[in-house]
Amino acid sequence: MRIAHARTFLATAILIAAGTSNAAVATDDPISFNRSIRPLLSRCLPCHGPDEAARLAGLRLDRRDDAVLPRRRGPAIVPGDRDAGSLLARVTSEDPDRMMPPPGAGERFDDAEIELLRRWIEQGADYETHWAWRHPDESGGVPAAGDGWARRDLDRFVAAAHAVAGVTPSAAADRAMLARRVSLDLTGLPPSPEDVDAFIEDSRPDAYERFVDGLLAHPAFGERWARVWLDVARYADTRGYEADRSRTMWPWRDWVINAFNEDLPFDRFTVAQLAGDLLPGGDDASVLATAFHRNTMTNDEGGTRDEEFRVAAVADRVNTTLTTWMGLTAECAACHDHKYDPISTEEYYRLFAFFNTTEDADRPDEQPLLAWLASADRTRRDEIRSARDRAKLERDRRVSEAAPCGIPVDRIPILPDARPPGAIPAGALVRGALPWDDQVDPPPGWHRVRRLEASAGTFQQHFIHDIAPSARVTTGEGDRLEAWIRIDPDRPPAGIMIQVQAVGGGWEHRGYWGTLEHALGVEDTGSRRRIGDLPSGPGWVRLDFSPTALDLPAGSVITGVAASMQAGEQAAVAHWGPISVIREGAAAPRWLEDVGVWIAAERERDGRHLPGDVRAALMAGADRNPSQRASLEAFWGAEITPSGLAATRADRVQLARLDAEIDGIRAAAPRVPVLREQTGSARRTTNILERGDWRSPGSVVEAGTPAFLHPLPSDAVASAGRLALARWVVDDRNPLTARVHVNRVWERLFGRGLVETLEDFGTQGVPPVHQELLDHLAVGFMAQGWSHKRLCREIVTSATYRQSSVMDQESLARDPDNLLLARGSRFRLEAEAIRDAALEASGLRSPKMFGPPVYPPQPDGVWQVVYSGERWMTAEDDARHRRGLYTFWRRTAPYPSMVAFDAGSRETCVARRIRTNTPLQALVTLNDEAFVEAAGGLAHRAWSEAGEGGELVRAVRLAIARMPDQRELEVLQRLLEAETRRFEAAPERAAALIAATRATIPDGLDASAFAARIVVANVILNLDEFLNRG
Amino acid sequence: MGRKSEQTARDLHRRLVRGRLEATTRRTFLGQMGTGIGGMALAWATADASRPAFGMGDVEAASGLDLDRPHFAPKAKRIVYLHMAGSPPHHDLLDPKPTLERWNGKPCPDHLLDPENFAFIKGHPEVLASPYAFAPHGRSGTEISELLPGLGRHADRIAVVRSMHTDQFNHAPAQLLLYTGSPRLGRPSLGSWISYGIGSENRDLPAYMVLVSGGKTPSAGKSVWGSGFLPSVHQGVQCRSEGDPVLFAADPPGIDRDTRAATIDALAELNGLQCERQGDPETLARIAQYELAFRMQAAVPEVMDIAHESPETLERYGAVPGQASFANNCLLARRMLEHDVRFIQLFDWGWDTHGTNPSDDIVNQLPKKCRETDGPVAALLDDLVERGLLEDTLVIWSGEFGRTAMNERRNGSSYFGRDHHPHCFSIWMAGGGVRPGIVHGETCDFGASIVRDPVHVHDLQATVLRLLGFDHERLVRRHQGRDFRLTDVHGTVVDGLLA
Repeated sequence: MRIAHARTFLATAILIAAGTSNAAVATDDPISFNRSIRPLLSRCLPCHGPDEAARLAGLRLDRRDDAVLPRRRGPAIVPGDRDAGSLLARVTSEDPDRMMPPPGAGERFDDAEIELLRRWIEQGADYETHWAWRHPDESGGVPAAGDGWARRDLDRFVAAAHAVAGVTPSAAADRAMLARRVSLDLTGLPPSPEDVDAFIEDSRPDAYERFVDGLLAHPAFGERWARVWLDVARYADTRGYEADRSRTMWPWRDWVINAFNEDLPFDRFTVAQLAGDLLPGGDDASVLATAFHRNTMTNDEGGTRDEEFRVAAVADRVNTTLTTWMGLTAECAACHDHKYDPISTEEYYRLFAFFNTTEDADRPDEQPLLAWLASADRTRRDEIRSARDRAKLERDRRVSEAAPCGIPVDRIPILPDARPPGAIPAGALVRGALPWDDQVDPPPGWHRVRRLEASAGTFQQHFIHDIAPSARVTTGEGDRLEAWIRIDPDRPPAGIMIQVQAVGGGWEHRGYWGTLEHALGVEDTGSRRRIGDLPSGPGWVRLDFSPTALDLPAGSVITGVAASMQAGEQAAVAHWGPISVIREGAAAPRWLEDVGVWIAAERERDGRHLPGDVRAALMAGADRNPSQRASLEAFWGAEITPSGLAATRADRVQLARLDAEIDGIRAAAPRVPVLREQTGSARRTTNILERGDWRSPGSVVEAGTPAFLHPLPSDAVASAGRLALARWVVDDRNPLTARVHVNRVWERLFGRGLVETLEDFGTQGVPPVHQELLDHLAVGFMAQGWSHKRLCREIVTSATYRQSSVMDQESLARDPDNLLLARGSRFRLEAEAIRDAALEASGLRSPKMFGPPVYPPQPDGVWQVVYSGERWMTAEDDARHRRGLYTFWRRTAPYPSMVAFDAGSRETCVARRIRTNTPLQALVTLNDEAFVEAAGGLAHRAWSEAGEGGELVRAVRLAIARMPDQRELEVLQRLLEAETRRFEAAPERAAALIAATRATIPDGLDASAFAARIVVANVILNLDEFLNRG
Repeated sequence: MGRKSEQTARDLHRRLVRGRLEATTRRTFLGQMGTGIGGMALAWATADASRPAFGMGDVEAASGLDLDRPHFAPKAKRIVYLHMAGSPPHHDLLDPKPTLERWNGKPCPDHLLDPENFAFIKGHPEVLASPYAFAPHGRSGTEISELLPGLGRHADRIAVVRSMHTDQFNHAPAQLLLYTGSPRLGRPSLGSWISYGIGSENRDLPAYMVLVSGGKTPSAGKSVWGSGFLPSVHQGVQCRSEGDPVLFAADPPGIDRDTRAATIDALAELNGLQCERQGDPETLARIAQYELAFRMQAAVPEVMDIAHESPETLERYGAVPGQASFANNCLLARRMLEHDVRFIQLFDWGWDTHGTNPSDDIVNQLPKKCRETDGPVAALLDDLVERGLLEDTLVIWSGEFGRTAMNERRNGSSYFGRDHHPHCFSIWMAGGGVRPGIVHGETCDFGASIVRDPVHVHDLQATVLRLLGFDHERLVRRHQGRDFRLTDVHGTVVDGLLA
């Protein structure tokens, strides 16, 4: 066992000692194909690799079976014979027509490389499966190295490499350094001096673990790791491309923050984002998670073809999924077979097919959208819903116990307290139902009224028409018409009107009171008859008139009625009560008294305008089940019958209020683009696109996964589609997903991945420096429930992580990239962390979490948006000082100070940011308004908290945690004194600087003294040590 | 100013280099450093051997390229790229088509119908002849529109390419294809490849600067001067006409130059102490960057300040200090060239002449744009000739695609304009090893397809790199497992354009 370990680590250690050159490998060692030969052969693969279309001379060198095949001039490789085979002949040839690679086509092999090839062939020319395609292997166990130093198993892997390389680990970092390091790494924020002191003074043996656990539980943990995820997810607050209009994605960002804080297991985190819409038992939150893949860009430019950009978005989903979870680059396979990795074009489009059947299609409305309720709103909505359910039960109970009650005697209502069967409601304020207003007491004997409003000078009406034939009223000799109206005494109309629709005469039957501007009918005829003056007096007024005045002789069949109002110079409000025919001895219509009659009448018009469930029960007819029957009767009892309406007045008021509240919550909900699967005949088929061109569809392919990885049963694809893919991604047999995430975390904690190319675990990526260590962590990650927090804890509590990052010249010279991990790592903070750290040190940071993106100060003119009036509205409240991940992210014009520190545009998936060091960064932290304000805040805070004598120490500790030494304090003190004198000589400069920081002069300082302290704080916030975490 | 910190940096640098060289037996210092000074600054590196190598801190910047051996002897050292964003109509400026007169207002021949590639045209469009006269200019007799009299004066100095073509017919992807070799986002732009390849000659200014006029950034956004997967130091630095010329270059209110110098010195001292304590060579790079930033704060406003140009010069350009105009930007380009800025890119908005209204048609808007730009371009060429700079400065003028021979008439518009057209368009180039006084390529009678010597945008890119001394197939960068280059897997140098 130990010998096996010594071998593998020997390779690592030698690699580190000798750089990437293979020349130093001792002659009797077996040659590792993956480490030594694969990189050499890869130079041949563009023409002799997996890409069938590009293959020359029919020769394929990426597979042993092909490479040893007999050929006209003999096989390319003759295993066991170090001098035979065309491969060696060609790479050693000096003849320009025969040499390989051909002149200009690639790097020639040097002598050492040729010797390696010879020895590998001599040893049998064994090929190995690429390391990353094999499942993480822990069969070697944990090395027995690192006794006395190791704190975690992972340390023993590191120690084994140290032993082979002959290095010793660095001392543990001091507590101030460690506190700052781990705080920034886990929460993205520096620790307060009080936290640091408490940690330093904590003498318990597990003081550090306790400190770490506090950070893991801190809400800022989720913000810090969400930020990491936003880069791979290409999160932005706009759609990209030319128009780059805003979109609402922040609820998804908040979902990610919560997921990290709640430590949602990474496998479930993954499945929710890739296929939460398809999860059995999924809820709104799992649908929201799928917004991950709606972060693709949408092109709103005029004249663009939606299909082209829909295809681009789907391709982006394939590429992003593979890069984010599996470290695979597949993009090139969209146009041709992959030149290096075994993904064919057909396999690419099989993956494409998983994502090709969602409803979104680069449309300007970004459908489909999810109306997302924040948790507080969701709770409120659910509360209201249950209150409404309770109120309904209460109402139904009251209906069943209601005392019988009819309508006023001698009345046949045309429009009573309920909509007559079949009648279509229409007109002002009518949205599928008449404008009932239960806040107002009804006229005597009735139970409901309708509200009508008209703004100044307008004519408004509401009406019903096309009453079901069996529910129509026919007038008789001596009948009168009756209507009730209640005019708002403060807002009276100029005139009111009743209009009747009858068989034969249509709507040409009008009677009005007061004045009527509207040019309807012919004055002094039944089509426009003035009946009297506008009724006066508060309260209900009964209008009583003869139908014949409206040209409605006996025998007229009434099919509809309208209540109208003409506003004068001011807005008018009135309430209308029931409209009836008065006839002595008349009986009430039977649909008010017999549910069977009402049902039959409604069925004449297919139950239109009834609520969906009631209508379904109505139309079920003979198939109606008992519960449908009961619901029909309950509806009729509560909403139609006079006794039900009388008993439930208070309930209706309450229900209407609850409904309005729910509507309000829903209307205010952000609408987030999400994935939704196409159904039925609309489902797209997937074609291979020739050369990746959306206009050149080739043969049809079915969804499936690449053959070189673990299998995905085809019945799973058929039954679960994209969900099957999501589960395949986090399948324990997947050799990549756990490794890729572990590596991502490692990179954030050490500044460099165990696999340096986070985005590429394929054959062209950089091989891992400690594969055994990577595999150990990956296997543990899966075995321990894919817990991200647990993984973080495992790593940061290791002895490896806790080493001092002080570099001595010898270790720096031997291992500049710290591949051996024999010291702590030191690297520059990422863009958002620099902002957050400055805000935190200065005491300005707003602790507010979640919600829509914010607009902290940025220079004028950065947003010059083509075709869009959107403006950057600089925040004047605490939104100026929110953490960086809440800053509005416009793809075509990202926040400039973050761009300077290597944040990308978020147009496509970025697995790692390449760190650079440029003068433009210095300009940001020296001059940007945000950092000037932070300097003001830090100066103010340090003085207020520590005062004369202690303020410089305090300011330094707020920024970099440790105590400054005497020499450092002298430099700061000299600057403070010199600048104080200079500001004293130029008070206008002091005032200008203080104003720019928005800080107030603290007690005990004058303007010059404070301005000088701002300059000193500006220096402290630009220290290399502040910008780095070491 | 900043003297002390330079001294500190130099001392520390020497100490570290010596210490490291002593500890190193087999490998050179340069190749060994992970990041930092060893990752030698390319874009901003200085040729001044007496100074420490001011690093941009990215080791990868140094790998892959052998700076001592350019692939070819460079003909051009600098580039000014004049981009008419939105794409000017070639029929009205550089590619006269008398045939259109006979067809004017008539339904176009069927073979011009290309519904797949029209952005806005619907139905069967009518041919639109150019309302502008062309005349031969100079000894070369190159025909140029009356809208460009200034350019006409320089006819013998320029090479007009009438056979450009592209794959894209929407602005953003076409601009991306032109500048990054790919219609999709994420690739480095031409200027950053050049910055990556040859670095800067100026130690106070960025190698790659961008000037925008017309009030809007290009359709494809800042990606057209982005660095893609190249180190971000190679991205174009946009100089703005209003506010700080470079973002954050102005000291905050109340901070004067002496205070800034004092802060830079204090930082150098403190960072020096930190470097001693921590031993990270990257800290030295940081000290150097603050020094450079300090110098840039002075150098950028100086080069951007055209107020001290003579009234005659301002008049020739039509430049007015303080304005955001193409004229100002041409004058600024000349000043930047004089300061050895390597690549200057000008974007001018307003050439998308669809004819939906008078502000985007070819009767009102096009002459207006030509008036705004022709004089300044001619003045720039004059100045380059006068200063002997044109010989090794490459000037390119282009849009991102061509326009149709037909009137667009979107929604029945009564204004005249042309829709997008990817199959041919005209550009011109001058100086820097370009064969002067020629017309390259030819289009059909309708100016709709190419009949001779097609030049794809990848070919243009290959040719530009060649003029700068690069083999476009060898200027590569490894990313995500493969070598990427500006021309993707395409591109052929156009020999006919080389002097």
